[in-house]
Parts: sequence; C-alpha cells; structure tokens
Amino acid sequence: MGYCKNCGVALDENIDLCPLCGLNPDEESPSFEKIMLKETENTKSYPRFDRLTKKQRLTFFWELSGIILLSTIIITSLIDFIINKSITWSKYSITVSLVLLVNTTLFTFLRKRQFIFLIFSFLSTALLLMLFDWYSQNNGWAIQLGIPLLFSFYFWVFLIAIITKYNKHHGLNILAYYFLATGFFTLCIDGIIAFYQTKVFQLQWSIIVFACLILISGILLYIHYRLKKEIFLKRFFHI
Amino acid sequence: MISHFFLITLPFKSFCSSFKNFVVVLNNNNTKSFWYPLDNAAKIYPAIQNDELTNVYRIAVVLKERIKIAHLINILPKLEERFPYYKVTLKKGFFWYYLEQTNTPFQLIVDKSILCRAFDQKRNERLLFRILVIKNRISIEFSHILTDGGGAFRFLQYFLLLYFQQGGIDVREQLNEFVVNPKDFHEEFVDSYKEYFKKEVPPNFKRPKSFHLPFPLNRKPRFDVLVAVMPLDEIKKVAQDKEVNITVYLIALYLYVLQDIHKTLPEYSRNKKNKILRIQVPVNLRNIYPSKTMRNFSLFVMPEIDLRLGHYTFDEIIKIVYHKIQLETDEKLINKIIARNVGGERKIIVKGIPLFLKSLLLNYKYYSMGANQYSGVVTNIGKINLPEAVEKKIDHFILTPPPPNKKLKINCGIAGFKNNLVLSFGNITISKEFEKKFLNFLVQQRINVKLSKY
Repeated sequence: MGYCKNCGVALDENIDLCPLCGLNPDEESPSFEKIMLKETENTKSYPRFDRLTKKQRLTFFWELSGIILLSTIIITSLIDFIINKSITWSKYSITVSLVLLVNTTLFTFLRKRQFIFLIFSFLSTALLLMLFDWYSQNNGWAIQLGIPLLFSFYFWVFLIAIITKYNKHHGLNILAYYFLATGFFTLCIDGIIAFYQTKVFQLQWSIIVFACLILISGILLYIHYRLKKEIFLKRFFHI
Repeated sequence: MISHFFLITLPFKSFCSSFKNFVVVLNNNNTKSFWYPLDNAAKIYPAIQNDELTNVYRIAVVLKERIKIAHLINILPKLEERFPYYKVTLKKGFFWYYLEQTNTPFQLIVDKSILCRAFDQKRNERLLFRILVIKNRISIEFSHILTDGGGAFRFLQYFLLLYFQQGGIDVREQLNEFVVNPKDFHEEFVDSYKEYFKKEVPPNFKRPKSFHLPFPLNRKPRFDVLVAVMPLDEIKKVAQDKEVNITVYLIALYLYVLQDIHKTLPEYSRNKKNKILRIQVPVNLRNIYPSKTMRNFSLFVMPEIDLRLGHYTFDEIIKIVYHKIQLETDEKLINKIIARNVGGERKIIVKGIPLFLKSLLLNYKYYSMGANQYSGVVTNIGKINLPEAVEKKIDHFILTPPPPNKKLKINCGIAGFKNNLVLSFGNITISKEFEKKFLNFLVQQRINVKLSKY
C-alpha cells in the first residue's frame, strides 16, 4: 500500500491521484512559504502595473494624483503671483486642489472605514463650500444652502454604502435602494432650497419624482425578492 | 413546527428507508429547505465571532495506522444520512440568525491549515463543521453555533465506527445504538435549553469580575496549541491520593498556577488586577437531563478562589474545587442558570430588537457577563470508550477548545483514552509561562509528561 507524500494518507495501489489533495502520491506539494517566496520573487522581477495588488495600485494612484494636485497648486499660485503680485483667482484652484488631495488621501487609506472616510470627506467639502462663500462676499449661502444639501447627499451615500456592504445578494435590490435614496435626496434638495428661498419648508416637484422612484424601486424589489429569489418570511422574521 | 414537519414527511416503514426518504425530502430542490432557529447557547456566537475568536473547537483522533482514504470517502454519504441537521448553513434573519439546509455535501479536507479557523462563508464554506485528514490523524472541527463537544463527540463516534467497519471490524452492535426511531428523531435537534426551562425559577446572579492573565498577545494568527500527553494511571494515582478525580485535580492545578502567576506580578499590577480566580468548566447537561439533543446542551460551573482572603495551598484549592463542583452540578442550580440564559432570550423587548442592534448588545454582554467573569477554561471530554477492536486501532484523542478570547488568553482541553491523558493548551499570547508552570507541577508529581505540537 502506498502513501501520499503530500497528506500522508494510505492509498490503494491502483490509485494514481490522491483523492484528498488531488496530487500525484509521489509528488510533494510546495510549502506555503515556498509559494509565497515564489510570488514575491515574481512580483520583484515584474513590477508591472497589472501585477500590483489593489492596495499598491491605490497607493500609486494617490502618489500620482498628489504630484498632479501639488503641481497645480504651485503653478497656479506662481502664475497668479507673477501677474497680479498677490494671490487672487488662484485661491479657488488651490482650495479645490487641497480638498481633492484630502479626499484622494482619505479614499486611499480609509476606504474600508466608510464611516470615518465619509465624515472627513464631508467635513473637507463643507470647508470648501464655506471658503468659496467667504471668497465671494460672504453672504451665508454655504451654511444655509450648501452644507445642508451636502449633508443630505453624504447621508444617503452613507446609507447606501452600508446597505450594499451588508447585503449578501447584490442584484436589482441594490438598484432599487439607489433609486430610493435618490428619491429621498430629491425631497431634501426641494425642501432645503424652498427653505433657503422662502424660509418655509415645502415640497413641490420632488414629490412627483419621489413617487415615481418609489414605484420603480418597489417593482425592482419585487422582482429581486419574489421572482428571482424566494425569501421565506417565517424564518427570516422568526423571533 | 419543525418536529411536525418531520413527522408528516417521514414514512414509518423502517428506519433505513425513512432516513433515506427524509434526506430525499431535504435534498429536493422543489421542496422548501428545512431550517431551525439557533439554540440558546448558540445565539451569542455569530455576534462575537471573528477571524481570531472563531468559536470553533476540534476533536482529533490519532490512529496507529495511516488513514485509508477510500474508506473515509465511502462513509461520507452515510454520515449525511444520519446527521442531516448538520448539513446546514448560517443565515441572517431580521431578529435572529438561523440555520438553513444547504446542498453542500460533507467533505474531507487536508489538515494543513490553521487550527480551529473560522468558517468563512465568503470562501464558500457553507457548512459549520469540517472533517480534516492528514497522515494518521482525523479531526473534526465544529462551530459552537452547531453543537457542543457532546454532540460533536457522538458524531465522531459514529464516524469512527463506520470507518472501522469499512476495514472489516464488526461494530454492528455499537452502530445499532445510533439507530433512532423516526418518531423520536426530532429529539436530536431540539433546543433542550428551552425544553428544560422552568419559568418560575429565579435567574442566576451576576458574579464579580475575575483576574486575567497579563501576557501580551501573539501576532495574528494568534492561536497556538501545545499538546501534552501523559499516562492516565499516573495522574489518576496522584488525584486519588488527594481523594478527587482527575478533572477536579487539574482544575485545582489550573487555579494554583493562576495564583502563582498572580503572586509573581509586580506589586502595583497585582493590586490593580482583580483578585478572584475563577475557572469555567463546561458540564454536559445530557448527563443530568434525559436529553438526546445533538445541538448545544451544556452549561458551566465556576469554581473560584478569592485571593483577598489570603494565599491558598494546593490542598485547600482541591477542597474548594471539589465542593464547588458538587454544589454547582446540582440540578436545581443548573435550572437557575438555564432560567437566566433562556429567560433573557424570551423577553419580548430582546426578541423585538433587530439583529444588527442585538449583535452589538450580545457582544457587550459576552464580555461583561461572560469573559470578564472567569480567568480560565478547563474542558474535559472524559475517558473515551470504544469497542475493543476499534480501540486497538487508535492511539489517542486530542480535544482542542475554541481559541480563547483576548481577556482569557489561555484555555485547556482534556481527553482521556486508554492509558493516555492528553492536555491541549490553546494560547493566544507570546508567553508559555502558564503551560510551563502547569506541566512542571505535574512532572514534580513524578508524572511522565510528553510534549508535542500540532
């Protein structure tokens, strides 16, 4: 009776391949360390973009975008300074570049911690709006209009991200959730703009958009959960 | 509900045919797959588990000969037939998790990976147990969501009997013990905690926090196991000299070593740490109640010493452990613990909380009412007896408890077989001081301890 060199079990004489590990009984599988070493060697000898890991690619993207944005800041401020002898119009490009840099940094290093990523992204963008407001006569539109709209946008994005993350079955249901979130976001836009203009919170056009989106979402959810995949309500909701 | 489902679908002609039909019903894609809620003990595990705290334990059997793989492959369908309630996967409901039938067949896996690793549904590991094979060792790893050591060991017993039957050993008599009347089959997957829950019994009290070992944690993957094999008769003799059994002796030793480590801490650290040393000892409730369940049905007794009262000699600890175990395994006290556990789950306010919030609460409760309350775990599967012809083929068994949590850090599993007692220390720290002190004590008692590593 022979033995498999890989997993060490006894095999009948007429067996060519070990039914447990699928290898030739005389063949010893390379150890995990050897495989890893080989992988590392391969990576070292072929430092091509398509061989980089996702993390390496993101870091590469971050470095590249960092160089571009910092160059933009330096070049625009220099041109502005040379022409006008002070920083005038370039403050817009500097602010936008800095906020973009913050957001690409957040995306590269905190993309898995969605809550923190979105909070800091929101804060940086809100700061951008406030600075723009300040640059342009400071009439308060950022706090009364811009930031509430931005907040509602981030809120629905966050909710969608959470739902997508914890939903195992990604199909039409995700599309339905996107539609629903868009519907709610239109309500927010309508309400916030109305409040900014008239100091009264009233909804007009967004109700029609919302009703349409609700209908579409309902159909999509029905298709996903009832027609494509049956959910056994009794077990799902058992208490 | 489930029992009615089975009673309706199972024909009552003969045992074998009924089981076959039962499985056909379960495997029929046109039929609704069967499901059942998690038992009371299992409910907490999905909420707390992660890559390190896996809640997966292992029972390994080391044979004297190399494993004949063809025999193992032949018995897998029979196992599926006999234990259809283990052919399930974990699903999320709105209020609770539940177990749902899966079509994934029972499989054999080469035992070359990390011990007691988590079941990863993303990697298509849908079942909640695995059978691992290497050289002359067969191991089964079960998630505590599915069953406890009692259930897993019975599964392994049947597994071994089938395996050796393939090798020509006559074990028909022992296999007949596994034959169950179809009418009573549902008893194997009932939640026995609920079955034996008494509403009128007052719940158990909360214990004060206990001491935890101060060792720094290992780098991930943290879990490491040290196996110590010793002659059963030698340790039995030293335990008998103290007029106690092996379990009591080893629990007392565990406490004694903890006390020793507590004593050697720097004064500031010693004063800051809790001074109650408490060991969690699982008790198989099937030995107390007439339950046939193959799901979780165990609770814990917790012998303890309070270092605020002074230093304890080993003999004093033995006395305390002995009496504490006698007291706490009393059925009335067990009822009290069941009342606490099941009572909580039955509260409408608990039932009605959505799962994601419930998971957060359970996670908090696990540490406040669970891990904080004990300093160590000693789990003893006892002396394993099998038919003589089968015993001749087996060298020893190893019971590896689930990886301990970050507070507990170390635990110990014990399995006795013929004249071998095997201690398996699970450890997630960089220190082996505990094991060293524990085994040194045994060596000082003139017990021959042989160490091995998984």
